[in-house]
Amino acid sequence: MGIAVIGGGVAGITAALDLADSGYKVHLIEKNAELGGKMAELAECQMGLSPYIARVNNHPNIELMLSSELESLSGSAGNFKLKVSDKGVDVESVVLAPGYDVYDEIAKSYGFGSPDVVPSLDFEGMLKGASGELVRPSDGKPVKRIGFIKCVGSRCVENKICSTACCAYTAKEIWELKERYPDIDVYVFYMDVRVFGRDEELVADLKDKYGVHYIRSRTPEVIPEKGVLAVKYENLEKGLLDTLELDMVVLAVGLLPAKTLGTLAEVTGVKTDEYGYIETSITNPLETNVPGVFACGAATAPMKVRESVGMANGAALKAAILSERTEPIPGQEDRKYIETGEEPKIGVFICGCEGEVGQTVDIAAVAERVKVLKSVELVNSDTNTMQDTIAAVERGIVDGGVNRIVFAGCSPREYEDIVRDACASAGLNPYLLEFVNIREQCAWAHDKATDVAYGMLRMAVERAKYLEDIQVERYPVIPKALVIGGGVSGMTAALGIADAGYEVYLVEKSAELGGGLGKFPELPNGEQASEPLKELVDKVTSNERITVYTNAKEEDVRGRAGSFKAHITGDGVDEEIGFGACVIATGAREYVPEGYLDYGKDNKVTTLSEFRKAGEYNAGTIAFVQDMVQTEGVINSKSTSVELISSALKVKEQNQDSNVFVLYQDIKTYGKWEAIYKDAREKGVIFLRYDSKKVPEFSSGILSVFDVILNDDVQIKPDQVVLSTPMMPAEENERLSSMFKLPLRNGFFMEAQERPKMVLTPVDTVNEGVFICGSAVYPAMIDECIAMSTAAASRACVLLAKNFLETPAVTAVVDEQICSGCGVCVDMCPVEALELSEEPVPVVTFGVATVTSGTKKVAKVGDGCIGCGCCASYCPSGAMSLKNFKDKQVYAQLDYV
Amino acid sequence: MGEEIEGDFEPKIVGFTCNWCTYAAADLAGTSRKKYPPNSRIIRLMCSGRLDPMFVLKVLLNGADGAFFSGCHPGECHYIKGNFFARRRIAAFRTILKQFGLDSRFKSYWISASEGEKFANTMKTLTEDIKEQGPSPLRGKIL
Repeated sequence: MGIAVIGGGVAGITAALDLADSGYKVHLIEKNAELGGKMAELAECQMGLSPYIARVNNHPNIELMLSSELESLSGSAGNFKLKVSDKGVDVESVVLAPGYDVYDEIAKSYGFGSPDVVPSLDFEGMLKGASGELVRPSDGKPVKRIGFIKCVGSRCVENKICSTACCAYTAKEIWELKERYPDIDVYVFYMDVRVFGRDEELVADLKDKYGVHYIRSRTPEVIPEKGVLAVKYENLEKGLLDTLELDMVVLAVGLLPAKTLGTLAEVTGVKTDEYGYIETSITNPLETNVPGVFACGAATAPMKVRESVGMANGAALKAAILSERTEPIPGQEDRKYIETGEEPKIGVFICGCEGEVGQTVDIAAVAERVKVLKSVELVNSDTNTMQDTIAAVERGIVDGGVNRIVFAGCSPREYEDIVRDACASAGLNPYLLEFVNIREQCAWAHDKATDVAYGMLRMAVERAKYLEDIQVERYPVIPKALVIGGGVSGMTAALGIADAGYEVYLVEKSAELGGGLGKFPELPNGEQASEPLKELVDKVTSNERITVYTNAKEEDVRGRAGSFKAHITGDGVDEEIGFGACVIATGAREYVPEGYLDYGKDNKVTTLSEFRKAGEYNAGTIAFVQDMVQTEGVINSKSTSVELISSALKVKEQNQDSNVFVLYQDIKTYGKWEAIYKDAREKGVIFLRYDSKKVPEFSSGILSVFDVILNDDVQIKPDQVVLSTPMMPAEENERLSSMFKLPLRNGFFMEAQERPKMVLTPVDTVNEGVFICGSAVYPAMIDECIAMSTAAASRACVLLAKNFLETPAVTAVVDEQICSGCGVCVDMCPVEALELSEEPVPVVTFGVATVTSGTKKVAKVGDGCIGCGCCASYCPSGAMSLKNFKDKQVYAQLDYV
Repeated sequence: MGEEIEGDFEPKIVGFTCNWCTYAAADLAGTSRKKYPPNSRIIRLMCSGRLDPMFVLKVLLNGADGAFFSGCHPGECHYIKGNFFARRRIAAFRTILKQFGLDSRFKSYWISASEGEKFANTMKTLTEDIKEQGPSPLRGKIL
């Protein structure tokens, strides 16, 4: 049996790979003929996603069912029977990832229909496709003034909720636009800027550094006339309806649940909410009402790629726990490599990439020219697909006796790992492969590319002669995990890993489990917090696979992914532990807004969390103040607005006659939370927006605020002032960051960076085997924390499922004979993987080391080496080199450019 | 290298790129079918930090008409700070190149993985620039 993943977009792909990589059989069901979903529609995103798609296409544990649809589902968790396009599929659990569709009934009033009014997705394509000036689609004139209208088809009557992702993607588009065309004037019409974390910094930059005009107004109308677009908007400064003439308008179109979701819900019996999204709960964000069926991605709520992928990781783990592992994990089988001998025998394999290369490259001619090169034993240019070419490589190694492979085809970013694997299973050391990118960087980039292709192959053949075996060591994986932090995130991660069958050490610095949530009587949505928390604590403490250490601290972390060691001291413990993976869930802490609105001096002023802790909602006149506290080193929590408005609502509900004010700059009730904002307004909560230049003041009991909509001062005499506060990173982040060598940003942990920039591994870090989640990454809502910590658990389990790991192949090596012990490399290693050590110096007599004569200092490469090669290029004596990128290997190519 | 120049001068350029940013940008240029002159050959390094100035010197002394280096934007290195090292030493290296009179033939760029367009444009202007400078004085000479 296995697991069915429905939807082949970024979420589906992520879930399928996590499962397949840990040895589960996956049926990936996609209604289209190709994988990639919405992301594949954009060149840049497709680029980032393509290596993942290549892995799915070639994964032995994934059965790909393209152009297929789920027709029926029967049975129950552990034993589902699916009918997929007339084929029967038996699985133990199901992951739903059908994704989203964009809002497509754009109102005519936006001038939609005029060629110069484009939806944001189309604009992204235009921007990417533009070479030279950005021109108007209608008349080809250069664009000088452009407007972005947000919330088109969201936060409106037809689609009541906020689409969450639009604010961020609009900011990204504008940033790209301004980087390329700094002279274009950009106007953004918005209601609230709902960006979080790093995107918040981006928007601030756009306003301050790039001079983008952010105009707060819901644009009623765009009128195309006489070659310009007249955009009507509310000019708050002048207090009238104004018109701005623009050359082009981009509509930030909202998201809707996938059109197929309705049928899918019917077939599977999964409940959808009033907006048509799959219903999940705040404490169980991955589970649907049908046990064994899990949901992730934009089918549960509108969200960005990062959150989608995190949920997909998490849903994969949930599904895996119900399933039986049946398949071998690729790369875990025994491998023996042939002796390659001294003389290089090079096999050149040219893949036609399904005709793509042949369009501009005369492959046969290239093959003829390559054939006569020295050391080339074999040239194969007849294969046209990746699978065939890989088969040819395997034949070449086994039957053709070649001991170096030059593989020409698509980009190594997509297929290098897969071809390396093929070489390894055919018995050739995988580092005797040289990849030539004759598709992306040759056939697609030039009109006449035959000579270029030959030139590239010529260089590769030269380099191939100097390639060397790289021996990697295999070491066993310790099937245990360390979780740091006993809050909701840490406990969820620990439970996830334990449920998957591995032992967990849970280390909490305080005396009790519970973390931030333990202090609140209520969840942000008003539900009781104590029950789910108690349930979680009980589950953790009663789980025999989890060892909890309180008042404890981990120190002296050593080792690498799969085999870490650390020392734990705490309540009655002082022991050494070994573990294969680590999850960091340290959470965040609140900033104390000393000095803001007389906080700390006047006891009428409390923080939002103090107010929620006290749980007294009976004030007569109360003012909630948001966005007031802005200072270095703090970050606004994603849940602030939601918590603030639900509190305001509660006051109003308890006492109809109370006067409830909310003073704000941006109300960030993202996604479905938009509903409580609407509710609060309807129930009479008064929202007053102030400007960042004129913040509210509180003196002698009077709160005065300049309201920008009234364009006037408002004075309130509140019984209570409630101040929302930003978050600060946990105190131990600094220490953990240097111990695990993880970079921080504003004190919070950073995920591994991808190129192009997109977050396809939101819980992975630069240090393999160390994962991050919850508010340690970014202070978020509890549902997101739970999803992300399940994701971190999932990623940890993928690693723990392996019996052994290999030491990294591309690392620095020292020639100790030459090393002079100067220590330059030690100083510059970015991960401190190098150290100097005293070594005995052998006296070599007639080629034989006989006695030692004293000692000398030499550099030693430690476990942490990441293979950047900085040391190799700085070493003054040439003793340092980087495997696979040794000087002679690079020089070999340079001679034949 | 070392062959005679026939007809229009087509410069030979060698580029060193890091695997994570500029190499990916070159891929993106191809994927989005941005055409650029076929004069440059790219040597893939894992990180800009691996760029040994000797590589560049070797290329130029071999008679290449131009050379360039491109990595991740400063502050965005996949290996934390490799591109800062590269930037620092390129600055120092230029003082040497100036003595050879080859300074103008070596360019350095920062092109991130999402800047396919920028990569293609850079290749265009680079090729134009080198064409204008004419063949390398070291072309065809054995040093």
